[in-house]
Amino acid sequence: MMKINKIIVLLFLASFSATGQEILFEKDPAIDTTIEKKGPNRKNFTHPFISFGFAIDAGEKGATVVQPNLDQFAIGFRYKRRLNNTFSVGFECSYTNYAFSIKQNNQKTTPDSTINKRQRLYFYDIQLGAYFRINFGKRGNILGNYFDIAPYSEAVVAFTEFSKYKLPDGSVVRARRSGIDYFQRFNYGIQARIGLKKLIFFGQYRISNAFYGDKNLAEIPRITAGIQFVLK
Amino acid sequence: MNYSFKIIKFLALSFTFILFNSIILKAQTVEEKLIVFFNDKPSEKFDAVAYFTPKAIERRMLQHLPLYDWYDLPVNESYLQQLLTYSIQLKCVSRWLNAAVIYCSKENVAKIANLPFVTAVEQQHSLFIISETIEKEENPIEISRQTERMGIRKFDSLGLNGNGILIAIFDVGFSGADKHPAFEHIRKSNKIRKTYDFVKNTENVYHGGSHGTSVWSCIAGKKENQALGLATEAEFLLARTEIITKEVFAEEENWIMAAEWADRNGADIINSSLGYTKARYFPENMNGKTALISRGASIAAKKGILVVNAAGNDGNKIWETVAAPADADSVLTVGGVKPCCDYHIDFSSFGPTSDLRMKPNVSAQGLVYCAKENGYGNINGTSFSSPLVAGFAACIWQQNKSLNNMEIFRMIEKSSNLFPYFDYAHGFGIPNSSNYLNGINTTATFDIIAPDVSNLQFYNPEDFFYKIIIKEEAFQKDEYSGKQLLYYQLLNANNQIEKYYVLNVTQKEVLNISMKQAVVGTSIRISFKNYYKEYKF
Repeated sequence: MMKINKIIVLLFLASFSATGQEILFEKDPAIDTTIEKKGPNRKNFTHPFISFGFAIDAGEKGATVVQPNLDQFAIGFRYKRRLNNTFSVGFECSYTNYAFSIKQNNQKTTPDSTINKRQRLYFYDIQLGAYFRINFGKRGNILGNYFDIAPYSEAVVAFTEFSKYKLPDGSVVRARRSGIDYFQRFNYGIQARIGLKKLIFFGQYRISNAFYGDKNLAEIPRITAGIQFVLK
Repeated sequence: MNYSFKIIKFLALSFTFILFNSIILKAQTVEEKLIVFFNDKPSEKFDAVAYFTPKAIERRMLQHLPLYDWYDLPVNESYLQQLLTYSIQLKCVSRWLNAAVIYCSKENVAKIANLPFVTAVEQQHSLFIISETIEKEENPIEISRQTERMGIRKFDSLGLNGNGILIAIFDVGFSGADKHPAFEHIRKSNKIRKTYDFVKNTENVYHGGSHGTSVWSCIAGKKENQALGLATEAEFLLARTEIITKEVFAEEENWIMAAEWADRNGADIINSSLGYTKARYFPENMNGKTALISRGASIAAKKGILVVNAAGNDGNKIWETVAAPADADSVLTVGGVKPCCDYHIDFSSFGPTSDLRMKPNVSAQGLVYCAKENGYGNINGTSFSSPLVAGFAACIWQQNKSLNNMEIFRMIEKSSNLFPYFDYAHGFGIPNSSNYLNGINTTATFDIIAPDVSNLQFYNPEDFFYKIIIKEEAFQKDEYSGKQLLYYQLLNANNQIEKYYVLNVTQKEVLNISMKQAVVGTSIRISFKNYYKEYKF
């Protein structure tokens, strides 16, 4: 009971102090003249980004993919080091997910020749890249217009095969296979980007093979292109 | 597999893509856009009477300014001719800057810079950036509040309505204004002196967006005989200088061209509800000297024109600081306040400038009722605070024709409700006709009581307080807002504002500042109901 009384007294006091002055506005003026080092056109800039890509080539015969389809999704961050108003360098790290929907036809060899209702190959990658940027035009503290050339490498953290097929009795089966060993653990390639402020158009070419050579599998698409958004 | 071939193919595709995009953007990557500054002007006699309109000459005479000066002399024609041999296109020529804006090939940039009559060359690339919208509607507000807060009734009773004052408005366009009923009285009395579209080089300004229509209505618009601004009988020059969908450097050149045009046509006041920030500049560039437009605005002020500019709408964004040309010293920068209760509206940009000068200078309502392309409505932005002050300026200039622009500038500051208190959100506050006509009532509204520790040998400074107490007769809520605002700021030993506040006073003992907080050498400035006091601890 004593405790309840104390709480009531405290609540009363709290309500009393709340009837004091009401601060409508307060502000610290920006009188610090130190020049900021972080910003889109400052010495250092780090920003998250999100990326959506589409396979441009259909893939080799035997592994042609359904197009158009959202084949690549990535989310990550990018660091930019400004060299001068025109040139910058930087690196980026992202989680990249590829999902290729393989056409189910008689030529199909990847990952096998079985014809399913649907089949998808999923790559779950950690991508690391470096880039060189050329900026165009006079600008303030914004990203402006730019062109990037960016070699990258990616580690395939996980790979799964998704198949959907019909059994003779008419029932539909959805199967997800993991623990597969025919894909390369590391890939590398090159990316080219055109940036218009926070909007980036990119094209990506995978130089390495996706599958081990001794498995005799047709290659999935090497070229993807799409759009990225700077999220800051 | 031939990887090198595929890489080459990929890169070739990428470059084709870039080329395609560059063409879409503007085929200017192969061209350079330059501002070329010249070192001198021809010395032959200049016929000012032929060049300026009688109104421009009258303004110079009233302000005891020379009929013309170096800035008005034409640019050397032979320099332009020589420049043309290196240029693809001559865009415009500025007498004030003694410069020409040209397009030329990249290889000619160095040749132009080395010409004996060229003092400097600035590259002005164009950017394609979708401009941010700054307007947003809120709940309906009282129409008369925006003008009554500034004392329109007193001005009206004295016949002060901007009559005889020529105001130039620079904006994105005045869509619908040629037919809008808000401006019928202006059209009927033929008070639109001239119009010019500096973007398209035509005389039609009634397109491009209705931002200018709304701004203009906050100077002189009417709704069923109720004034939306203070200078309903002023005369106007309307200029289109801004492109609504793009933020391009050309807009600043257009602004300067428009200012020269306004000067030549005798403008007394320029209202510019425009501002340029991060797309072109860094906050440290907001020093009134870097941005081309700020340099142009300063020259306009030297010509006797009162330049009134919106502070900007970045107060709640990372940029925060006032936008060019509001950073220029001789530009009257106007911040925005809430219509309910006369303190800072969230989006209004803050001072100081990067070289620590006070901005904004004054404030006005940042949410207004105004004309829109079709009809009327609410709109917010410091774009609409600025024309309210431009209208106020026109009224006081009408009564004091012999004063110069900077005297009017100081008079507006002195007529504001907080003067001589100022801060970086409100400037000197909201100009008011009563303060202008009668002076500020300086009856004491509060006391500052220092703690008495004279008899104590030892004491804890945390236990003793400086008290700010509102006087009995001043403790009264404002009828309109139901609030009573106290503005105060704490200053460091270098007399710099460390922090500033607005309080809604709900009890007479407003502030208690402990002796520990009140470090010797620091001070406090307080403004409450027109009474101002500074106290040094």
